Amino acid sequence: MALMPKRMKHRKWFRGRLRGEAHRGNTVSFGEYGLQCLDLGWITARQIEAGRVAATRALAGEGKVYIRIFPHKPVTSTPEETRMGKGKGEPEFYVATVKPGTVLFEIGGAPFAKAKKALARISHKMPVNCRLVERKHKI
Amino acid sequence: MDLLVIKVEKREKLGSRECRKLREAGRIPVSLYGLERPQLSLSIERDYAHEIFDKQVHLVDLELNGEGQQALVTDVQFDALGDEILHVDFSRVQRDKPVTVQVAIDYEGHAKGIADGGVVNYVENDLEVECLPRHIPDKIVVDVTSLGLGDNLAISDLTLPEGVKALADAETVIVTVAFPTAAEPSDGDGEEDDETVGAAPTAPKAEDEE
Repeated sequence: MALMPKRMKHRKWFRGRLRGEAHRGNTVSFGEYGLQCLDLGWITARQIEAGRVAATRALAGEGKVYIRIFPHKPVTSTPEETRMGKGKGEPEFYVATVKPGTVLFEIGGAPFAKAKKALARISHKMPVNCRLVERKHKI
Repeated sequence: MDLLVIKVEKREKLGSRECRKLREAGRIPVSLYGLERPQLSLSIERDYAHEIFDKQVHLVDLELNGEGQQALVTDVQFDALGDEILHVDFSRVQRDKPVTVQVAIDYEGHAKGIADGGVVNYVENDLEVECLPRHIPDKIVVDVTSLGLGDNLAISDLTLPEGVKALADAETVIVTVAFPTAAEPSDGDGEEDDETVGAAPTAPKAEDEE
């Protein structure tokens, strides 16, 4: 089951405009390796789920997958063959908005080679460019 | 423990615009404070800043106008992508007074519990320790090879260097080899969801939207 909000204050949102870089959620915090987004974009709940499944299978029971993003934003669409007017369409799916620097997924408890393979599999499912990052130690 | 000698220059012009120019010129703005003496705005070469972080150097010798000053690396700020160092904080230290620092834990080996299907969970990646500045270790090496399924290591199991005291509770677990919790991945449609832990508390909130 794809992720979606439990309840919403407003069913339909403006599309908004993406700009800037991620100043939060941009460090590997739970696992040892992470997949960092390099672009601005929307990641749908289905894409997140596809990434999770791909990573789980690549890890083959070893390690743990952490999802660091959540699809909060509803996206609406109007049905085909619809005449102009009649208002905004109905929510069709949910997306997570991501900025350069956002850590999308993390993997913990797996050796580097396996984590790298799993994160590469996830990146193939993502609509944005990604790269592997390692956890940084505090100083 | 390394004592890195870094030549610093005083920053005459302050502010974000000047800092940006400084970074473009290959230098990093730094601050030095502590011991109830005035704060100084300084700059160092970029290579030194990266060396500090990459080698996990805690204690440095800042050389300003020919005078040395021992200082502790207190904070390192990165850009959004985590590539470039933007700023470094140094705090003055007294040689005979203990300091509190975060020291990296370096896990070595392949836990034998993994072969039985266990998942290694590195609970702590850094350890807060108290020691004299000259005793600060670069890292604490922990061998996890002997950990079987269901085993764990606590801070009390660590052998810390002489003069170094861990501040956290001795019973605090730093690494565990947990039992596998999920069933084998199913064949088809991505219905398995037990192995995934969503990190909801840290997920970006909706205020990111314009």
